[in-house]
Amino acid sequence: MTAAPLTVTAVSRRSTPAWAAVAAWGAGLIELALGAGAITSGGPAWGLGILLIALGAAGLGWGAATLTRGRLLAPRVGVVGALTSQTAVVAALALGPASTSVVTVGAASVLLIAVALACARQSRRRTDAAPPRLSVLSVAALIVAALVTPALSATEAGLLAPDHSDHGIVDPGHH
Amino acid sequence: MRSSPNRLVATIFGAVYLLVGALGFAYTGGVGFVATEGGLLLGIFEVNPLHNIVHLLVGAALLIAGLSSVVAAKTINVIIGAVYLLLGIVGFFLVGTALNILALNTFDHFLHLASAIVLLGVGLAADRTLHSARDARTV
Repeated sequence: MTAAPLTVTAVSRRSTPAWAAVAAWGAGLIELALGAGAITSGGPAWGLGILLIALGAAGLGWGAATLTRGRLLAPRVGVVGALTSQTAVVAALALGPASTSVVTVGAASVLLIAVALACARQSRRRTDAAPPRLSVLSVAALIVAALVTPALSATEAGLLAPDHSDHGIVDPGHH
Repeated sequence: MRSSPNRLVATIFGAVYLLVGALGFAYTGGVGFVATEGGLLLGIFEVNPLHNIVHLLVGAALLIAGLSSVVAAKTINVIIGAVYLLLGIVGFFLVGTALNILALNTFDHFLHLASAIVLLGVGLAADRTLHSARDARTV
């Protein structure tokens, strides 16, 4: 069996679910970290923390389901979910500006807007289910990891991590 | 094997993780087995002996699965990808605590996260049907 040659447009359409799914994973991880930080810090942001964790988990699940099916699932719900997440992330910055980094919110915003745009585009035009190209997935993984890693480092959990220069060697053999 | 993205990715990642695991021991001389601060592999990735052993185990599992069959490669890609994705978030809460028994640092998180996305993405998206899996095994 020989595969039909792919045009640039066909490759682009075929790649959209993979990009959106990987972006949703990245945004989901950031939302989970922000949510966990809001919960552990206590105060009025506790409820927002629960919402962020729920949205982050939903994002991870949606991304996995999208990759499994090979097409963007429930694109209209995806747009609403991405915009709700965007609002929650900005609310986390507004409620806790001292504990929420602009870098974290910025990275989450980029990823969530990408998901919303992909879903909005998909809701107007159905595409065939097809597995993503390995090269597309690899590039998406590197870009999202490059965005998410500093974003997670800038969360409350990440800021607790000391630099190499300011703490000594810990010997686990001594109590 | 080349017709199956899962087998290809598992084999390549397996070989790389085995190499990284073996190479890590050159940088962890005198480092405690579960020390929260280890040596710097390639100058940036922090590792301790336990971290090296985990790399060797992950590499061996991926390589064996990649060389075995599509089903094995797909299964192990999904499992290791999901674990690495989980580590991507949990790891940040462990760093700076006594629970950081793998001596994880930010560059480790980047590598784990990128690996997680590729492994889990390929595991979920590629070789979806048993028919294509059987075809790939016969190539």
